[in-house]
Amino acid sequence: MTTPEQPRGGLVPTSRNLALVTRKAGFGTAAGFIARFVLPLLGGGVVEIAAPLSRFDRDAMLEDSGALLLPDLLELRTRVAHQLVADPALEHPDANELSLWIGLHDLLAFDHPDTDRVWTRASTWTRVESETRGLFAQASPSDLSDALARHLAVAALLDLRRDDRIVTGPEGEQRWFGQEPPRRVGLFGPRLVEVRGETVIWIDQPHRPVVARLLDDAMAVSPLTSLLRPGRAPAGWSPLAGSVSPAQFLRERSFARAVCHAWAREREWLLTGGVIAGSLLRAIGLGEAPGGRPQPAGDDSPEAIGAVVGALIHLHVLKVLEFDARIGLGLAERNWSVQAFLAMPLLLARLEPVLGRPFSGQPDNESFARRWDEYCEHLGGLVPRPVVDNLLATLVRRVVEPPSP
Amino acid sequence: MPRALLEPVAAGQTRFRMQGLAPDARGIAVGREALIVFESIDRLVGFLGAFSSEASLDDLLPSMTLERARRHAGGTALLMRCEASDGYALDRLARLAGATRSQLYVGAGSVFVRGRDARAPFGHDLAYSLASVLASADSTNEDETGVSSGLGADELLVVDHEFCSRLRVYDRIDPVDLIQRLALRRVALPLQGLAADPECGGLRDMALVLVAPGVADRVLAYLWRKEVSMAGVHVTLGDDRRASLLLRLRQPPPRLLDVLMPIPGVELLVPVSPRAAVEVGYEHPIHLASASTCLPGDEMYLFRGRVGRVERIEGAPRFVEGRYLVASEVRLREVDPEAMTVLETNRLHVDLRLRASSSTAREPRATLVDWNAIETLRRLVYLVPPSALGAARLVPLLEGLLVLGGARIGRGDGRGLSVGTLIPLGQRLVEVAPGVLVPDGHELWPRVRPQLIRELLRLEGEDQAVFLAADRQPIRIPAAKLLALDAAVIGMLSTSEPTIVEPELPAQTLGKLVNQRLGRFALWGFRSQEP
Repeated sequence: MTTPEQPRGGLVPTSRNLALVTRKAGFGTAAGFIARFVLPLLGGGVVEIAAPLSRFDRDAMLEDSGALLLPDLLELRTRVAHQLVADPALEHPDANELSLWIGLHDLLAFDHPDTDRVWTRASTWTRVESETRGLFAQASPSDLSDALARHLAVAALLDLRRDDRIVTGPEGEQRWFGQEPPRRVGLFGPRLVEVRGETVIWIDQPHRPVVARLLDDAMAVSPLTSLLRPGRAPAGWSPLAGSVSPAQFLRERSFARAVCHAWAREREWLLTGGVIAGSLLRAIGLGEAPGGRPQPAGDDSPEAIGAVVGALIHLHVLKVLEFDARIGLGLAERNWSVQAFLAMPLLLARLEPVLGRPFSGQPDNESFARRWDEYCEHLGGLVPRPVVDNLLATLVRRVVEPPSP
Repeated sequence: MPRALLEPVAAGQTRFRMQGLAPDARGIAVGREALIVFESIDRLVGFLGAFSSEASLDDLLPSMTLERARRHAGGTALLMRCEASDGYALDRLARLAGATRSQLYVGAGSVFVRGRDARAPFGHDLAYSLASVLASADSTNEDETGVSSGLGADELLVVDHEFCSRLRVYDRIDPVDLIQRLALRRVALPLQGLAADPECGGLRDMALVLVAPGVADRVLAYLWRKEVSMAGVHVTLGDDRRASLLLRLRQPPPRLLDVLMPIPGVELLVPVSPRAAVEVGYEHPIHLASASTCLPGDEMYLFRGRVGRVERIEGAPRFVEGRYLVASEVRLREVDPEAMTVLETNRLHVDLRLRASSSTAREPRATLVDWNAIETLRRLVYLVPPSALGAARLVPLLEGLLVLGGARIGRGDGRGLSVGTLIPLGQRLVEVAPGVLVPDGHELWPRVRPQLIRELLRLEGEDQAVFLAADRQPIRIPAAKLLALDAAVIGMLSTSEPTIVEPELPAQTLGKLVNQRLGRFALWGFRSQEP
């Protein structure tokens, strides 16, 4: 892991002097970039987007890397991580994390409404895209701590809001994306008091094609974000693949708990479970990959597969506990991955020697056991029997029986 | 080969060969009158009975005439004529006539044609002129009887599909007279008696009892002893020398009816209309409730089945309450004023005393806690449930602290256990009368009414009286002296203002994207590590 360089000049960075200094600092400096982009991104506030930055700019920022050790930043990262796990093990920000932040900024800059008025060649924009991709590549995590740090920034990107201004004039509506309308609009057109504001979620808005491509790279950098929001995961994503595979999080008790509860909070938790189950089956060669794309190799050990399967079963357990496990009809219209997800509790009898049984150690679990059995009977009527038999013969065997050497 | 004398009326046909026919609203040929030809009197009675049970005979009777007629070719018939200028009324008459195997004809005056049927849904008209039809009838009659004549004033011509019949009216029957003279029909009664029938043979609400003069007094005395709500009137039936007794029983006991029915000289009658009653076990062929005009005037008709008579009681019977019909010989004696002196001289006076009792245990309503046990009481208050604590009252006495439980006079708000049950301290008191407390295991002697005890002690509202010992006077506690136990033990609470602590860290919010304005030379000098 790369360690940040010591700040030069002996100036100890504090929140007070940084706030004073960086308020006017430009994007080119680490302090200005952190104050105007990183801190609002993580903790809320105005996230400013300016011209794209490159790896040279990153290197220049690292010349004054003391801003990376700013107590406000460290504390903010810890506070955000506390929302996920109780005791986050976070390292200090390093050059790789700075690369991710700059990459995210460039990603947002590609969606800037003023890019069309910039005088430059198209090849320059291509170089900017490759630079951004290179920044994301350098930010690839090496362990769980790194991956958690990546998740903080990428998850914040997915939650970004944007205030759009809409001016209604005789020629129709004109929208300014995250900008105030210029004064000339008020001089020659409708009055600015007629400007209407609208707050939108940035990720849900239409994007340029380059942004969609780079978004996949950003999600690939953060396996935990892809695991928590599998709907945003890049194409061909696998819960078993990657330098830090999502399955490694599920093997940690604290992360597994956080992930399962995050899934259970989703309104479309069936679809979420279906995406995870489908990705798992494709990753171990039991499902058809979309577009015939080869699946990335990953950790297909029984423990990793068992962790993912156990998390999916635990999602059912949570829904049974909160009396929300209402699965309506129309299941026949759902795809095979959702059916595979619904079949997971029916595999528990065979998986029990390895994964255990929910609440088996609790003395007062009669009520839950009765509801769980009723739920499994309900699922048995919904899921076609061939689906269960197929999973018993393939998936369960990969978990219960160790692969032959 | 008989030739058809009638032809079906076409839809929309407005002109007819036969005079007096006219289309109604539906296009059906109707006349002013309808004629039903009955072959015998029992068919006529059956028709009237069926009509009265389905509709009201009062609609039919004003325009109805019943006649006896003799056929020109031999034989007699009964004719019923009534006004029917509506197709719907004709349909009902035709249906009921068909049910009694009789025929309906429509027309006016003296010529009638067959009513509508399935083959002619709009009715029938003459196939030829009336003169030719009459001629053919005359020729037939000549052949059969050797007599040829036209239609006289008392003659009718009935034209059917293939024949026509000439009828001569020779007698009229009064419909009202006929209905009154009809013999009653027997109906079956339950073998177990009238009590087995939920409706008591129609006598459940009211029964009329006709009692012969010889047994009137005994029946009256029997009913009076049974406290039956009754009213009666003496009526003279026919040529009887002595008046019979007609009783009206309201909601008579079914068992009583079974007793009365087999008594000779007693007849039970079912009121079928306000002015008609039929003996139980019989029924009138006509539904009399729908034929009030059959019974003219304001007389009351009693249809007696066993003797086969109809009794007409002049005027509406004026029933008299049963108690005025009964002769009583009981004489009452006034209270002797001299005997009242027994009460005035207190020779009957006794004292109300408190004595030990071994009767059933009562729930304690209060407890008298000694002043030495106050500290224990303070600790026990924490154990009292909220409902019992809220209903408990407190009275300080010289003997100790009286804690009263929930159930108090006039307000049964002692929900659940009272505080007297829950506090195991002191002397328990039970309630022998509303608001009157005695020590547990004691009672007041003699056992007078509880309400009387309150009145003797002059207790009002929620006042309480406590008997603590046999040799001491009871203590009267006014309601104003009762203190709420919870308020008495708590005293006063003080509150303190909370100290609001400002959160050290600001709340986290979501980032908001702001696109800074990009200049035209924003990418000038952009350096990448790739060529």
